Amino acid sequence: MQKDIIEVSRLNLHYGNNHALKDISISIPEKSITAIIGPSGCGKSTFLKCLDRMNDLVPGVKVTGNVSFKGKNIYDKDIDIVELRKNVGMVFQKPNPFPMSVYDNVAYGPRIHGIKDKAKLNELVETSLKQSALWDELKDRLRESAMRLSGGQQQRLCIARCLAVGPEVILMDEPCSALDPIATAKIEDLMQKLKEKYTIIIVTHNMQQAARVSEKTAYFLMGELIEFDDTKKIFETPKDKKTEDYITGRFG
Amino acid sequence: MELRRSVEEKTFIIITAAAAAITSLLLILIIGKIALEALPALNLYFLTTAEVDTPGYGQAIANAVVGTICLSLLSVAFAVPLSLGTAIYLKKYAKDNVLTRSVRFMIDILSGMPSIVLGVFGMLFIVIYLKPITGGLSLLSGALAMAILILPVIERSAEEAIGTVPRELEEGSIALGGKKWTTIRRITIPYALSGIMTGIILGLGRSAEESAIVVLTAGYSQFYPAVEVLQNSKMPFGAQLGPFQEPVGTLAISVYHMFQFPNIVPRANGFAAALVLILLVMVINLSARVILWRWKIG
Amino acid sequence: MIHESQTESSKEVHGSKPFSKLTSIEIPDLPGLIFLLCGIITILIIVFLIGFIFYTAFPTFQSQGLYSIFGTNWDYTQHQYGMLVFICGTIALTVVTIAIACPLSILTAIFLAEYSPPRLTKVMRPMIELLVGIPSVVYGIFGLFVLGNMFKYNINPGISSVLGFIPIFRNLQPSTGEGLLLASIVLSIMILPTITSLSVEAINSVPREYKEASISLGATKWETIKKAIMPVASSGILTAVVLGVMRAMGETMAVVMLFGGQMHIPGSLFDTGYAMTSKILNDIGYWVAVPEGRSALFAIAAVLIVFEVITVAAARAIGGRKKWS
Repeated sequence: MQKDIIEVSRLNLHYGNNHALKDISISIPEKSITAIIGPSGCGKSTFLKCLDRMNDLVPGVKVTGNVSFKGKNIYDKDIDIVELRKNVGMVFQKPNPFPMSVYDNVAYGPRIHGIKDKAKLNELVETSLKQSALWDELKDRLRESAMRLSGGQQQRLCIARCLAVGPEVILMDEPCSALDPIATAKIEDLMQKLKEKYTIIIVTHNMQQAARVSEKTAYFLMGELIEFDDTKKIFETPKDKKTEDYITGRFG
Repeated sequence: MELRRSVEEKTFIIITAAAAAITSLLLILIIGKIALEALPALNLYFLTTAEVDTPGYGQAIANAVVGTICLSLLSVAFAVPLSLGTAIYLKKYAKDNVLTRSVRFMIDILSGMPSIVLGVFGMLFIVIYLKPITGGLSLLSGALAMAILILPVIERSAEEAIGTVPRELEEGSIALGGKKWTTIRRITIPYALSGIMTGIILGLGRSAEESAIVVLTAGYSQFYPAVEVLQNSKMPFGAQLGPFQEPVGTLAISVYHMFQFPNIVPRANGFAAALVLILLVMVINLSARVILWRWKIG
Repeated sequence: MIHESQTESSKEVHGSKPFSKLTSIEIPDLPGLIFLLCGIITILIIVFLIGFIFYTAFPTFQSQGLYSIFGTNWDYTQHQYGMLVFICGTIALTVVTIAIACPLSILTAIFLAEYSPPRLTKVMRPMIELLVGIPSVVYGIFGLFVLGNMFKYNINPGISSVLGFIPIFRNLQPSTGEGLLLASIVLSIMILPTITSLSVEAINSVPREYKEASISLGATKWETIKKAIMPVASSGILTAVVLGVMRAMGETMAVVMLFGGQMHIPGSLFDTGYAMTSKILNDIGYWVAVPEGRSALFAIAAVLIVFEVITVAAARAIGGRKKWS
């Protein structure tokens, strides 16, 4: 029986006067891929950013409710945010490697968290790049600037960078929307390999992608969680009419 | 997260906040102290009488206030046509090539030129060599030298303002058959006007506060600048045209007198002149900001 | 570029003048010619200005040779004009000023750009900017009459009694508060707004993505600033510092009132010195009428111009042409 690694209970989020997330309750199983779909502006990215508290960076945001990571509410006063973000990593919509070498990008996280030993860093860089299917392409180009890589390579580099700090959960915010179909396919393959070790939550506006890669899917609409179930059931026999409307393209 | 990291984080918040606090408070401290020292001397007599009508030095500054304003306005009057014309040419007519880039480099050099260099140039060339025209140490000399100083200030603001005019607006005019100058006159300049005005006002403020140039080119006078014709056999036609060919009093020099003659100029008076000068420059600069702010909003 | 979409008549003019084919100045319509004239006059003024200074200075360089730069004796009656003392004075002043101003303004900029809540920033920034509105003469008298005694009776003796065993902290001029430290402190206050606001701009223009990436990897705010933001903002900040250097080198009034004007290279922070700008200001009144003396003083001005051009070139090389007002 798969454990739930993240349990969200009655999560509400306000941007100033805007009630962006309304009473969300959902439990994410570990070591699997969960997709979050929904039309633009429905709050899926906002929800994702609650899970690693990246919403803290936005001024004027108010969050109430409970988001538990392995049993502990991450919005508690005594939570160590740095540890949280070590355990819950994020890959962004537009690849955002640092303007540094490939090596320094991947080593950035470990260095911050105190690893200074050259040998250990080398090992971490190699492992992470292998896990994101970049090692063969880049093993002789580690000192090259990350800005020279193609869009797909940059995104895989960002994944490697994320993996290097050793998270348990990887949040992906529309990671392929800025990439071409071939690069997208590579990343989707990557995700299948990664789910053996990591829990992946992916926000996507591409329904076909959600159907392809995920075990469970959540449908958001206007800040509310409409339906959450096995992907097969969501796409073939949705329970809620709103879900059905979205899936069949009647709107959104 | 280990203790070292959280301690480091908290430490630097405090350090940077302290730095910012010091920097922001400096203004209040300095102006406050000057205002305090100036208080005894700030009265209507001091502000509205010309120094010539008072005994000794530094007992009144009305002539200096008027002189400062006249000098600044005249400097701007000289500088604006040249800098505006240059900005329009560089931005609208010239191609981006080595020539225009070197022109911009030269303007940058001028903008960084130490004022004393402009001052001695003004003194030797404008005041001495050009004495028949300028009347030596005079309002005219000061304004000419000052105009060179503020040229780059106005030019750069103008260039930036012109650069913000949206291409579509101009292309719309050209597409309707308008010639280049018509487009510039009717579309570009009106749109960029606020930015240009800001530059002009900044130039005004700059010339009000400048002292090195003024010392060496404008001389000093205890009289108000006055429209008059004086007899002077050393000048062409034997005439010296006031106020242009006569020396002019400025606030910056009034303040400088406090340094030059510390035993004659009362301490409070010197500070009072300083305060009036600060307020004058600040009012000028603030109005530039207000115009810029309203332009950015509208 | 807009001038490519010209009307037919202008195109004909462009094509038919061989001159315009050789250079890349296009021959524009009448108003354009006027503006071109403005540009030419502007350049002529700048060239003439610099040329005039060097022309007047030339005889001194010719007669003194390298001594003019490296010599230490400046004496009109002996016809010797070595400006080393003044050059060192200016350099000492600039170095100490930057040493004081940089940490203060960069830390302030970091606070304003990254830590400060927006409402606080809105209040603090104008307060710092307004420091620019204080004329340098006023800084001069403030330094002299307000800070001068503080330095003479408290600060200079105080610091030197504690740290005096280190040469740089000896109190070599107990009879006055004027000197390197006083002048540098006032000068740093003058250039604080420049470095601070340009640094804030540089930090703000670092793409947000880098900050987000760093935070999402578990870095603290300070670590993000140190490792992800500052390296990217560094060229902008360096440009700001270079511009601060330029202002410090060229400042005249405040320096002449606060540096002391004694003819030696400062031996400590509390010693007096003589800056290039001050020498020119003090002596030109009398010596402008004497060709030799005037030429010597213009020689100092010429060296100042050279320093300034180097600084401008450095600033452009680092940061490109920006708005520096």
